[in-house]
Amino acid sequence: MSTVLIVDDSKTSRYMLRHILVENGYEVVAEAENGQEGYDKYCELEPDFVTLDITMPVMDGIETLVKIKEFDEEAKVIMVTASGQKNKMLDAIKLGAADFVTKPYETNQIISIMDSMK
Amino acid sequence: MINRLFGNYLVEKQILSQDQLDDLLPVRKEFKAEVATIAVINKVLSPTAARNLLEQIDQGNERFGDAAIEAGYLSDEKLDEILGYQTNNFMKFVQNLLDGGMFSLDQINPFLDEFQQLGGYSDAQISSLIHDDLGECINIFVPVRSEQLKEFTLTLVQTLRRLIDSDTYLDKAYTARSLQLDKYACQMVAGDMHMKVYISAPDDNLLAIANYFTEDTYDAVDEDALDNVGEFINCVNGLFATNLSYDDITIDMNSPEYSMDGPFISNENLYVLPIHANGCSFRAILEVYE
Repeated sequence: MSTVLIVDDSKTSRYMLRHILVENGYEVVAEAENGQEGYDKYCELEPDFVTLDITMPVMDGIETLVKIKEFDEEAKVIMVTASGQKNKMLDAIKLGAADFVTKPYETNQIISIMDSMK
Repeated sequence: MINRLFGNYLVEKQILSQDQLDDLLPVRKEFKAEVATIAVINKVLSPTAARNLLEQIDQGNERFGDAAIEAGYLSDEKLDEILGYQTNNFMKFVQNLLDGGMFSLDQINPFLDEFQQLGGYSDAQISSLIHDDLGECINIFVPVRSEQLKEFTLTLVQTLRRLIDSDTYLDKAYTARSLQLDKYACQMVAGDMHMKVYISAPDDNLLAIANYFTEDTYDAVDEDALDNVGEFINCVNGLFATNLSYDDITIDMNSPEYSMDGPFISNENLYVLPIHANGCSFRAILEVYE
């Protein structure tokens, strides 16, 4: 079973994403409330996937993405954003994000992206 | 939106109870309004003529529309136009009221006329409400000049209807220079547009959002429920940002915030939008900086 680390400052958002992932056969090994905590947990657990909210306190999603990719260049990072602004998504992809999903979550979008990266 | 507004009017007139109204809405999808009902509401047929035709077709196998054409009341084109209204939510709502014996064909238009007069709606505005032209409905309830604020309100209401309550409706928006908030969630938006979006309500009214946005449910509004509302605001602002980006307008969003203790806010540009959803009332407040 593929493992996932969810990084998002919103408890609601983490809950929604965890629900979708668990219902579709993924194991959520940990959650983090900010980018620093997310990076620390990634280093500790090395999950198969990590979902990263863009806007977070302490360390935002872009900075966290860069640090995680420095630690593990093979890391499969999926950016999560409420905004579909193409510039930010393209920036994230250039920095090594595998893909992105927009809120509100659509189960089909999330699962098809993750299934395609297995 | 008009279903709830008209329904509330009927409740105030004691034509139906609040429970009856809540049972009738939202209107079922797999249901059509009758041609006779639509023809009367659109004032192409009088209630008397409609009743006579209904009695006539009761005795035979004719369809109402065909009988109305044969009797010279409707043209083919007019019938086609009426048939287009059969899946209209307002027409279906009125059909439900008729079928439930809440009122008769004779009473529809007097009630509608009084509802229109009490609400101060023009004929064009009533038509927009009946056709659920949300862009025009926003113009009715949110009389602001800023196209971007109207666009934001449209995004907010569309998202509320899609994710929270398809029968979400508004009261007339107003401006204020200061406001005491109740329990709230908010999010700052900055960039080409700078504003703070709040959703606030006393007591447990924000459960109207929190208990519908996710599959989690809350018994009372606590910090987890407010986080839920904050995430909803985040989604709305995200969709708004996406729409703005098509016009090369860029905004960034901070993390949502929330508190059980509402602050007193003071700003020359406060826009307050009263909203009703899932039987509760709350306010969306836009604090516009630039």
